[in-house]
Amino acid sequence: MLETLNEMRLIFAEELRRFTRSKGYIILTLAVPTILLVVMGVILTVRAVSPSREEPKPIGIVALFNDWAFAPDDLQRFRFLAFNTRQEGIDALTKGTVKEVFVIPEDYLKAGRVEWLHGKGGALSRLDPGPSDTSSAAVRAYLRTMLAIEEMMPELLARAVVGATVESVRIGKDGLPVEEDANTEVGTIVVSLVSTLLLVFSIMIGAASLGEAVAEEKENRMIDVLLTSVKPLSLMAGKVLAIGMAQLVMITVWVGSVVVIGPRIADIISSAFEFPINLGLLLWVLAFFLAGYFVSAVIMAGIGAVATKVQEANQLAFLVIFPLLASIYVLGLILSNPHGSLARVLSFIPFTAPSAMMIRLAVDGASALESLASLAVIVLTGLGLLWVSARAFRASLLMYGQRMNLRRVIRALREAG
Amino acid sequence: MNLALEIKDVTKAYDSRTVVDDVSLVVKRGETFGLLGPNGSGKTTTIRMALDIIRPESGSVSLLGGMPTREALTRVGYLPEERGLYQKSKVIDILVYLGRLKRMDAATARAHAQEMLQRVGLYEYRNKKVQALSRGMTQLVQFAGALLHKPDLIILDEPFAGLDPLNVQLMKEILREQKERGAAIVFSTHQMPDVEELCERVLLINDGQTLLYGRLAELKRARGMCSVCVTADRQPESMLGVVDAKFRNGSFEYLMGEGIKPDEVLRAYLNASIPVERYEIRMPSLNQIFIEEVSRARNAK
Repeated sequence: MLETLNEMRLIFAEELRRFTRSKGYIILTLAVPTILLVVMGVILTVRAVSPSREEPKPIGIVALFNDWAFAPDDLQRFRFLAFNTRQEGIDALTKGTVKEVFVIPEDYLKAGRVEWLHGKGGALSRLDPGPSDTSSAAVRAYLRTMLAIEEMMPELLARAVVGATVESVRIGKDGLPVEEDANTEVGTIVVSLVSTLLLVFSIMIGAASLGEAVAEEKENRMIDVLLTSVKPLSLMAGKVLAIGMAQLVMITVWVGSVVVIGPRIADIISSAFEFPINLGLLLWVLAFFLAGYFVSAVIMAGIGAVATKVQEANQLAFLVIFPLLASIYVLGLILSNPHGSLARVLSFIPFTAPSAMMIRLAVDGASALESLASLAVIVLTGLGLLWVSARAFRASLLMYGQRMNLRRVIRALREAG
Repeated sequence: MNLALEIKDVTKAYDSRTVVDDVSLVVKRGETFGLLGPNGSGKTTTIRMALDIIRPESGSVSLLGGMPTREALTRVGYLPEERGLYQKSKVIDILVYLGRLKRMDAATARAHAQEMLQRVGLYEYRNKKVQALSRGMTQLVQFAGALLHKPDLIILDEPFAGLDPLNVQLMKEILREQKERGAAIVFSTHQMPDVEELCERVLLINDGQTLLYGRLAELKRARGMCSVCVTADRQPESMLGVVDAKFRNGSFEYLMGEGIKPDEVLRAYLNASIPVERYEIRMPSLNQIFIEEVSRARNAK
């Protein structure tokens, strides 16, 4: 067992090193952040050179503490607009008169909290929930100036030094606050769809290259050298895990760049993103993504193992991609009835379960128990297939030079142990 | 007996065709053994069975005194006939990886890899990618990879194919060093001069069947027929027992019939009072034996 793990570790390290250093991988990994940076750069450039630039909207201020409902002259450069009540501020925000409203509550001196009312929201704002740097600076300047204007009492001085904390409240189009962790259907479906597409895409490039790599080693007989040193199971598992890890890193870079650069773009353009997601859902999606990759990669490795040529492995890759795509084709049916029989059945077929479950989770159509059961089915199938792939690999070597027929395949599989 | 490899009565069939038929051989430690045969004769299949890459239908394989376990296989160095290395990897990285797979720690694997690269004259290419190397260089890298863990048994499938004479010479020198170290060497080839130069014992197979097996010198002696080379101005008018006579490179070459002693040729020259400048008895070449044996086996079918 220890020997197998050690062999796997060696194969894993080498495959990971080789895969992540390939030009194709590096280009694909950096593609998303690069595209986002270019988009941001283009928007900034266009804005900078655009002559018909709109004046930035003012910042709303609702001061319920003392009588601060005015903006001193030396702060006019920030374009403050003062309101008497919180509701007035919300109305202005809904109408679009101001881009955001800061409410300074009555207990501000004691609590030091400032409420930030805004229209932005969703996954991106949850991960980056503060107001923009300009707005923060403006409000900080406002608070300090107003505190300084007051008689210099010790608590005012202390508050001025400590500063304020900002509490974010997202205001919906109806003028009512929106719960941050509430799932809006469109948002979650978009996230799940994107995840499903990422899964398919990741498998197409990761698992397919895995099958190709195995077939290539067989074609150039490098496999003979490897098999005098490691067991077929160690070889298979090491490869699957390494390329899976490389794919995970790639996806992480993609998601990370969307999370980091996305809000900047959202800040620049006025129409903010509107797709909330909760952390629990994100974890489930990640779990199904990994399980889906695992089962597909194992099948592709198995295909690579039995194929005699790289071309043959590539042709057989559709066996993996087709079931994954199948659940995208029936997306509408799953969405319309996430608790229905079709959705449930697809959730327990290992090849369609990852994408079906991601879609169902997005519309709250699966319980935690059902999700766990589905995940278990996928993982156990993957482990079983890994064992079969390793045997098939050995068997295909035993059958080297022979024509395939069922009797011979069964015999080779039996001997492969 | 201290055996590096023992193959006993192995048979392997693909479909209805038997590619290795009841073949047996023994390779002792510290010995260089030649596995000979024409293309498609079953040499590579025999090697692959010896390495437990494929399994025989019947018969057994014993590697370094036991079953061909993973442990035993880590003490084997193997150079396959088809040369395949990861094209986009650096030479040193591949060698370290191959060393690591043979249970060496990273530092030792790197040190041995550098040492082997220096020995094959490719040290300056250590940081180059395999795709930047010539075919011959790639072959030397793979050869280095097969030896860097100082294996007890070295199996080389057509090691000299595609190499220039200088590299062939280098590879032979390294193999002699390995033998001096105590390693057993098995190599398959159909280049008979290489076998005559390096091997003590050989196995000749054709269509999966053993044609000849044993000590090279004994096999030659057992053939009986030999040739005699005489350098003289002219030759006697008649000579008994000569099957074939040729004049080549200023010398007369006589192929003796079975049971005829080479002295008969010298006696004929002396009787004819022809001065002899040089007289040499030549054993049959392995190439000659190979062609004759394989042709005979094919004609018999």
